[in-house]
Amino acid sequence: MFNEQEVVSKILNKDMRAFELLVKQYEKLVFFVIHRLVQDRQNKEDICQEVFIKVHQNLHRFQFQSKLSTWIARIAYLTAVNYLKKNKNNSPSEYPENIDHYHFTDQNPEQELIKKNTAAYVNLLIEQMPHQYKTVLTLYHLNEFSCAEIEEITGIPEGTVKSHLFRARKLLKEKIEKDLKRENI
Amino acid sequence: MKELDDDALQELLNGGLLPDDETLSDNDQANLQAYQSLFTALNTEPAEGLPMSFAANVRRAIQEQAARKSDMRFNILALLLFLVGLAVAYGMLALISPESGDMFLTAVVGYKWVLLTMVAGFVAFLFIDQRLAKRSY
Repeated sequence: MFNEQEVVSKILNKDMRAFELLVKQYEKLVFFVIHRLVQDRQNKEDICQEVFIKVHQNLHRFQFQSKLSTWIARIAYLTAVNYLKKNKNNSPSEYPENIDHYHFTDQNPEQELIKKNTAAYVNLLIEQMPHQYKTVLTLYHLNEFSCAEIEEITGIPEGTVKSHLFRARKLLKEKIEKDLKRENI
Repeated sequence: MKELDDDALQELLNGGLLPDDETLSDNDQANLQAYQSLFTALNTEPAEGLPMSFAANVRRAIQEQAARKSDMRFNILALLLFLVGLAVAYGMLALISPESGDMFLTAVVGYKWVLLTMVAGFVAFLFIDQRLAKRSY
């Protein structure tokens, strides 16, 4: 079993095997965050690596006031956000002026092809959503963080996290229903 | 029968509380099913992932970074030792015989370019050697 405190103290004593163990334990968590927020396929692995290098450099600052997973997820989130800020070639829907009035645009041929596979279609729809929605959906559903933990990771107030989560899921459900109806006509 | 809104349905699924089909209206049942399949899709992990060697790659990258830092420290230390060596040699000569000290200083100033080239060559040699040396982690 993975013992956070034991592994951290070993890493601080320069045990690189323990660090490899930590990477294996949290690589999925980091990848899910980076995968959803960064569209650039080629850079995903490099960004994940950058996250773990930051974890290694700053581990001595970790005081066990939160879960290690929350602390690592925060580093992953901030690294992804910084990457997005540096590479501002994202789609305009990434940062809509009023997120509460966000809606999906009409579909493209790629969406038509992928619709048969619900999970893949949902992922494609999520890719088009503003990054706040992507973040809360990923952290809640894939990484299984609570709304309070998501607040700790992103700095978005818990109430807003909840409303983003509900609204994002409602938007997705309505979009899928609308597409199914259109298909049945 | 009172219909459940989207928020209430999502809340039910969040809490893992699934009501009986009989207690729900047809519309609610359809909505609940839609949300259930959406939740399943949202909980599905992406097909792609990181390579199996990812953890080892990260470890190697960190060790290489640490080695680079330590090499740089060594190079700077070597340079400082050389400079301190020169200063100590001058100081000792000046103490024993001020004339010899002056001669030494004149020689150092006179051959400054030769000395600088030697130092730069030595540091460059160290740098290239460190880059070319293959380390096993």
